[in-house]
Amino acid sequence: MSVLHSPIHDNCTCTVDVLDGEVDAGHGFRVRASARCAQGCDLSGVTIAFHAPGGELATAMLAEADDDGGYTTDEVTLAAPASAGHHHFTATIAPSAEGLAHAAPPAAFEVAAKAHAARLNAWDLPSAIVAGEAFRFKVGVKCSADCDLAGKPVALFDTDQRQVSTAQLGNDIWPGTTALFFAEMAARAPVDAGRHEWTLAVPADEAGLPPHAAGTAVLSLNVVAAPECSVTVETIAQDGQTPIQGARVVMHPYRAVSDEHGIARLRVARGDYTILVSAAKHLPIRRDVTLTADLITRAELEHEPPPANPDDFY
Amino acid sequence: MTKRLKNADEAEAINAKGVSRREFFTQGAAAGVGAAALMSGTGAASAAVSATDDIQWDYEADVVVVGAGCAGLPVAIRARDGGLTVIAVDQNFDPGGKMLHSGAQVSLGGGDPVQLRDIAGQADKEGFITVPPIHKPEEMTEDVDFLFNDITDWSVVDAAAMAPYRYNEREEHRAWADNCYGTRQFLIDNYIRFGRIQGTHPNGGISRARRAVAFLKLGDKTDIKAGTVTREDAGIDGKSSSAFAPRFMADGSQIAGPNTVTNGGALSRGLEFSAREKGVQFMLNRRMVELIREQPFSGRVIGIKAEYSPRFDPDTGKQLTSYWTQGNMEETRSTVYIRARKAVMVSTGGHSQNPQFRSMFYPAWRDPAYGSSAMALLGPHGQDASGIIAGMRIGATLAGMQQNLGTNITGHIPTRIATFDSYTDMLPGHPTFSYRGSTGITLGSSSYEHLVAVNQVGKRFYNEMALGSSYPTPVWPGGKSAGSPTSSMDHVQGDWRNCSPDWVRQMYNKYSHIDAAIAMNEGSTAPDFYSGPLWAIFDAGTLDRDGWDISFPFTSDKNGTFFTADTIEDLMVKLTQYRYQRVPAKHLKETIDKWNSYVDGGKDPDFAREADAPMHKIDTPPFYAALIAPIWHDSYGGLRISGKAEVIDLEGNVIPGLFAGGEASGGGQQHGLGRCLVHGYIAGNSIVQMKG
Repeated sequence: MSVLHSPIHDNCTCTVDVLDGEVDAGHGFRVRASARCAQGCDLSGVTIAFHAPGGELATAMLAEADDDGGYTTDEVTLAAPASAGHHHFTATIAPSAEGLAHAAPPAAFEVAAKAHAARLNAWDLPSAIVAGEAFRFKVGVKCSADCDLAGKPVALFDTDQRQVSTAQLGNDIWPGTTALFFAEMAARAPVDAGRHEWTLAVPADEAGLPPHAAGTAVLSLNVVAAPECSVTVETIAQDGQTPIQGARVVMHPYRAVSDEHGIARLRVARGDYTILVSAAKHLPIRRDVTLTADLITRAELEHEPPPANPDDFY
Repeated sequence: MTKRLKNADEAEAINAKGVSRREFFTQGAAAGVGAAALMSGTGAASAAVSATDDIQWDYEADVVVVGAGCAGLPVAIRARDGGLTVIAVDQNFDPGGKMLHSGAQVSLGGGDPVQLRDIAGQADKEGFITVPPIHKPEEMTEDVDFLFNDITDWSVVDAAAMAPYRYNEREEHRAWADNCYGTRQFLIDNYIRFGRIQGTHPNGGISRARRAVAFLKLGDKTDIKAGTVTREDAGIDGKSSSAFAPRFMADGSQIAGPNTVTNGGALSRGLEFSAREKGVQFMLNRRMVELIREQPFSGRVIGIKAEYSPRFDPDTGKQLTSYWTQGNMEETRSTVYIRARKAVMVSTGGHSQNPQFRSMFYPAWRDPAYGSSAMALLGPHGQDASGIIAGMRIGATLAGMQQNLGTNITGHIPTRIATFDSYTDMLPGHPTFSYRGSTGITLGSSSYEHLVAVNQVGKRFYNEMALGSSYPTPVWPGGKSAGSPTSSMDHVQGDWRNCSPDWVRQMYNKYSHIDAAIAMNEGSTAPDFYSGPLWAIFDAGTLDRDGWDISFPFTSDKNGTFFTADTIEDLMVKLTQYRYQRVPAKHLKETIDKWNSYVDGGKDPDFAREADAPMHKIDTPPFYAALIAPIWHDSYGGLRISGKAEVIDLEGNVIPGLFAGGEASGGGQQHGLGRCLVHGYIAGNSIVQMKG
């Protein structure tokens, strides 16, 4: 004997879990829908439709029943609207292929969309900047949602929040990155020696679609008095007595890199220093000096054996 | 009912004569036919007794060797030499265990044949060795008593003030010393070529040079009998490993001569070849889950229960198969019972890949985020303590468990980043490379200048310059760096001065970076308080300064151990893709900002790193995160064994029919191969000499 089904099963349920918290406006967010038939129908393969106020966004099929007898879709990524704020959606159970309808109240869910964040970074800043002198560095800005930021302005503010420099992000992204737009900036150092913390900033664009929040980063300057002594460090490989190119010589805050002749030159103020020298595949060395005049010194670095494979010993 | 019994006695009829790899494969195929024919035979019924009456034995042999690695292969060969039938069961798809990727460093001594050869200034019979002895005769001259005293010397402490010899089981080590000569000769007789004696292997004694490394000569074909291996099978440096040797075989010119190569491939494949040639039958892809004793805690051990444990390439889905097939038993049933007429040998390896087991000694190591060496090679069931646990379940006692904490290589941080399997340098070419996905970036100690190391919440935990450090073990040539107040030749065994407080204060040099690395942090939550993964954070400036190669195979963007990002914030997000990154690295941006401010200030108030090397900002995009993976390499502590390698029960009595050795056994602090090989040799002799 066959069982006749009503074309509509009432009192069914449909729910949606939003898997992401706050998301970037216009960006994807993940949801998972679940449904249950009050009459115990097998809902696997039944479609769930996700709706925004303007229409259907996406559909997904319910999978096999879980241990509790509920049916759930895989994760579905929906697009948040391009504006910031709380956005509301619904999900419904679509009629089955046989025309059977599962009547359930639309499952309401919402997502919070926010303005995109701007992530700033500066590099190639001289480690020591002579007071009052010009200096240059690079600044990069990345949108949290990888937006094209070409032409966006970046400003530099001093400790007193006075704008001291501006630049526009270029059209290219920094090599090796996916969406880091960059610019070279120039500014003039304060006249007072010491540490100065300036601020890099990109302005907000709240009205844009999608909107972008303002972003800032600290630019830390080591401002030094005019140098009084020259220091020349000859970096040599101890075993072959050959010059080392690319060795790092650090007399904080001064830094230099040795040339093809193994020579690193620094201009520094008088005072007490620790000279640290290191190079690839060599063991670093240090020497403490009190500098009252020019110094020429030699740094012999011991070659570091190739990294031992422990299995060759154990 | 009909017994589905296959008798390994049939192995007598299968005796390989192959010399080359190709010929060996051909014969392997023939052997497979032979094995298949056995499937239909009813054979003799097994005689399960007492509580085991219900067991339907599927296979039967005189000796069942569980674990065809460093301890197991010698037992199997020795038993075949004694006329016994042998089934060697291994959970992996290929024999060899961890020995296959080892350095083949075998420290024996007591006047062993290689010591005597070098003392006499002789070369090997094949004439492969063309370099003179490395040590003076007096540096290798000793007898068994001297060796025994050396490896049980209570007075020696290492640079971490640990005592590597004090706690060694006396009976076990007397037997070990007594059998070093025999084991070395046994190995030589089974296709193992040893180079010159060179120093001593960790915890192989301090007073004499005892280590010899197995090698092969490069040749036109890989031929174990001829002692040759092709360049391709030996591996191409920095490019490829091979199915023959999972790690690139290192240059052996210092210990043997030009065109020789060394590592576990030379040792493991030699023993495997000999075992197959002598008729050992291998049931691979089969994990022992139970030792079967006549009564739960009494009577003889009469067999094992073993489950099918095939491995499949994660990329292709293809089942992994052994390098050689001669003597393989094809069996795919889920569970089989294998009866042992005389003995079962537990040579299953240690417990380094069992987080619950190893955490008995150091709770922080309960975190499965920390692996074991050779994880890719051995798979999920390697070094899982299965043999030890099976022994405990039938009444075996343990020994030497505290010795897990007595050596520098057990729980440690290898200097290879961007791979989960950080202990080894496997390259593409071995079938298990896909399990790791990347070789990793191998760092020298100076390279740590260029990174910041953070824990799972993104905070630094130690001076990074110390991460590449380890303290040495007290071995040849001794001296302060090894923890002994004198050189090895002047070492006085049992002298209190060797461990006087004044001396220990002078030479102590242990860094606690591993302890800091796995300490609880704010991401650790009850009940396990896992410490989580560690990350090396660096930037494009690092690559420019130190020349790191981040291309494949050194890194992979698919295995979750290496990430590239435009910003530190993006890096924080990407880290969550790693399976053990259970919490966000929420402090990472703050940590890098703080680090950069330290560089600007010239001081590292947290860890005083400014004293060790130049500090560099991490500010040049792109930014990188590479996994720093702590590893529990070898394990100490396991089944207590007698001088005959018999397993001992809780009352101090021998469990009849049960033998153990290698890392499945406890009571010995010697690292690795020397310990395991001798145990296997002893067990094999003991089983052959058993009555009945």
